[in-house]
Amino acid sequence: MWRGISIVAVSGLCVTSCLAPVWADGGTVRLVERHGNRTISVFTSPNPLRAPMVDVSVLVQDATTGEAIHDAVTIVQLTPADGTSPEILAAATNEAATNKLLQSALVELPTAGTWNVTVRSDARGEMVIARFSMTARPALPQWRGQWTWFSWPIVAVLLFGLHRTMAARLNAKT
Amino acid sequence: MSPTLDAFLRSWPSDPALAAVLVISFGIYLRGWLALRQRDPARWHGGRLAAMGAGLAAIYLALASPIEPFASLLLQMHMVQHLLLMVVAPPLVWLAAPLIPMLRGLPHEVRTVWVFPLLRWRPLRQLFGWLTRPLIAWLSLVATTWLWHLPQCYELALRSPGWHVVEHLCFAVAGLLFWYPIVRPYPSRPRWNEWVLLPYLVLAGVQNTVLAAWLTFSGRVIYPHYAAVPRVGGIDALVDQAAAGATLWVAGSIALLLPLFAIVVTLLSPSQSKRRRRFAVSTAIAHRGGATSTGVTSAAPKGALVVLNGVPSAATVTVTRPAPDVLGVPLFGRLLRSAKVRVGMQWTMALLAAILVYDGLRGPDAAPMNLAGVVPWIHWRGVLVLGLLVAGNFFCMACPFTLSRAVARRLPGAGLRWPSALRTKWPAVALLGLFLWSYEAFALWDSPWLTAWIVVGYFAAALVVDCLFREATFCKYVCPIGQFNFVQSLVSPWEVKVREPAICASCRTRECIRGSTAAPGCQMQLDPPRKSGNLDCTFCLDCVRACPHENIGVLAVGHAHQLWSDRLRSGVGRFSQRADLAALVVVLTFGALANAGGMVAPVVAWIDRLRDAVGGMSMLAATGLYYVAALVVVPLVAVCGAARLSRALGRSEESWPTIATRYAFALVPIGFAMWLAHYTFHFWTSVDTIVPTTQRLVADLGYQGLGAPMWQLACCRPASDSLLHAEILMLDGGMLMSLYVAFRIAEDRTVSSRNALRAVSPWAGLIVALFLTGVWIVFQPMEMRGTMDPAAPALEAQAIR
Repeated sequence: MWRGISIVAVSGLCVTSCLAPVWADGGTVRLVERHGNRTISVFTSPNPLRAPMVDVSVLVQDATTGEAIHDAVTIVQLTPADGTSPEILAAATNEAATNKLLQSALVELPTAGTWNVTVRSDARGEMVIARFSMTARPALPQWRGQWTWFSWPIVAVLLFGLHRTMAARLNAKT
Repeated sequence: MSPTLDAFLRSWPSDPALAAVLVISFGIYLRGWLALRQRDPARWHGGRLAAMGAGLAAIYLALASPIEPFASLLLQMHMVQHLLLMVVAPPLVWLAAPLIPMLRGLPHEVRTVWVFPLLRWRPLRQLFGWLTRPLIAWLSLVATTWLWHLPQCYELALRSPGWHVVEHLCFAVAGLLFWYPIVRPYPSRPRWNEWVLLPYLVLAGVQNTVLAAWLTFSGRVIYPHYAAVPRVGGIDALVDQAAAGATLWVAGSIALLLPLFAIVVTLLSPSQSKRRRRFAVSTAIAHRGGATSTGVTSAAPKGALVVLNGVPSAATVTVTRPAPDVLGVPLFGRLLRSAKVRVGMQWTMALLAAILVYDGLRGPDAAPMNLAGVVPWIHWRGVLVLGLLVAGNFFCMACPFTLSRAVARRLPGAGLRWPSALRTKWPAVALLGLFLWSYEAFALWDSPWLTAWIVVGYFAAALVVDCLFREATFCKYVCPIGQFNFVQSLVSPWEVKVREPAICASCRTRECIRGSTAAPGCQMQLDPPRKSGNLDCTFCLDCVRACPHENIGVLAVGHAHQLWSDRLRSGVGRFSQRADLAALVVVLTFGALANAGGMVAPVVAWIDRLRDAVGGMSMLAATGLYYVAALVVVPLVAVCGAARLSRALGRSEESWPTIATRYAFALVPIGFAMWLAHYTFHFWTSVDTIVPTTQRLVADLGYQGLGAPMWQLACCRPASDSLLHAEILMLDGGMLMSLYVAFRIAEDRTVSSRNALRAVSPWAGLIVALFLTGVWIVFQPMEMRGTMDPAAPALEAQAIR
């Protein structure tokens, strides 16, 4: 019975390990600007940026004390530089961020290329606007991003080969 | 509490893979520790367990606590992370003396067949011995620390997640090497004078101080990343850097001074000196006695791991434990054994089938809105394959189609014997191929009405066959679902088996197959003492109930153990002589890929292009061509080609059909993996569809208690990366198991390892090709059958009658 329970537990843990880790905790610093009594910092990830999924994280702080303002209402607007795709609006929230100092928005870019980003944050009555542009590379084929998941058996096969070789030598000696 | 601290405490990243690895590692250690503690509680005290837990917890804290997300904003936080990996986790892990408990905690086969040969491999032992020499270990730590603290390398790790992982691995490994000579975990034996550890630790402290001073007293921010990031908590970049240096200084110094102090006390203690001398003498005697001294092994307790020359050995008495038995589980075992419970399960399934038939015939003919459109093709198939993976063929146990057998026995005319020419799996092979084709050709998944008639037809066929023929003929020779279950259950972890063969050897009455007043015997004509594997076993447990000695159980077996054995099996014969069984396996394996492939966008597009190219070919013809290619042409070419090549390379004198028949069984795991991945995908993404369809049916019957149908659930959950990872892992496991089975078959049929490798290589190539095809399929967009866009007005209107 315990063996069965162990099998189920290990299988469950292996399945759990398939869950993709959630990382929305910053990334590359795009800008750190002071606007009035507010400092706004914007990060993007992954590095390098690739379509389609891009994380834009925002940190709004009180410029005097440096304390993060978590309850700012932050909207991220992305507009393609070539105008070929519609603009994207996404709300950056504290809940979506791993680092709870930040507010994050996970956006899906329809195309690669240069995107103009405008971040508007209403931080306790003070509106802060920051602008920058970013270039997202084309998406890698899905298999490129997941290659470790289906190539690790090669290591297992090599280890098996090594094991059989050593077992054969051990048998030969004895 | 300050908002920054509050945010820090709430910033826990999610890293399920790391958590899984650490929990499994601790579980293995715990299992081994518990076993060792029974024999030597003094050595395996609770402190060791606590040390292991603390060490693994330190790793988790370093990599999956709020430290990780804040490490990119604060250098001092990043420093804490590195210190946890280098000076906290490694000594704790070594204090747990992990080698013996981890080995003991592994499954016996893994330990003795896989790990021990590796541990006894001289080059590996020499490498480890060299790496843990004080000089080398010290240099490893210093080089790793300074290299990764160079600004270029530090920035690289901050920019690139991949290099960040490499950095952490380097720190962890360097830490483990550095602390090994200091802790000297059992069963290592010191090969150097302990006085060496004094300069070892002092010099490590010196380099730690130099690095810390560089960080603390530098007048500029060394790492540009931290100059660019916003400041949190009002901490200036230079102050942050100085704090990081101070943290390194203080924590590193404490971590080095504590063991230094302990070692000095030990060295200067007279009682410790005597103990060391005694140990040195006993070590010398052991050396003179030789590594295979029987004195050492015979004195060891039964099942103990014996440490010879510092290397664990499995050359001890092996304790044979009885295999776990599901029927031995209190209450659950009794329920399973009960004939009434089985009949209850069958009637429950029959009732469910009746509901499906009713809804299929009377409900809306839109698959996402009808129970007959979602339950058989999404839920039942998904639960079926998951059940086969973790348990066994329990679906045949609950099969409602066998209820007709009880009815048939009472009717006149029953008792004919199935024609001998058909007493093979060939009819089932043909029926399976026909079913797979018709599923696509007639879009059975999209027609609840057709699905209902298939269920009705199945009951009718089972009744007719069981009325006319005896000995569970429908199950054994006709039922396609049964054949699917039989083949896939060859990799299930449980099997209906005798507990003690000696009891069966002395039994003369053989109720298990002849039957008794308590229960009929095995109607599949499987003689339990000679039965091996799950092929043709319906898990009816009639043999269990009939056996007067209670000598049959549902026992744990290794996954796929049965596949490489060519022993004579009751009711089956030898695998190598059953071309029909081999054909069944091949059809199911290639059928798995064809069935899944037929739903992915590129294949669907290819079929559409084919139809257009051949002047508007009908769907029937196009799918027919597709399945002829997928189930006949390609398998014939692949399997026959592999067999011929294997014969030539392995220099075998057997005919290639015999070789093909034997090796075909190696394809079972990869085929099952594809079925599992495919059905799990649909089950996971579409499991909610049963809710609105049930609500709709109940409302149609006049009862409003379940509320209005929640059609928003009729569409699919997103196919996340996690699901893709799970599918790929399933395929990985299936491929590895298939490769192993093929290799074992080759070893069994050739005289030398070299010939075995040659003989198996074409089959390995085929298995890898099947695996890569499966991986390609799971990466493609797949039709979400049985689901609908809740905004679709046409379908919604059909619900309003």
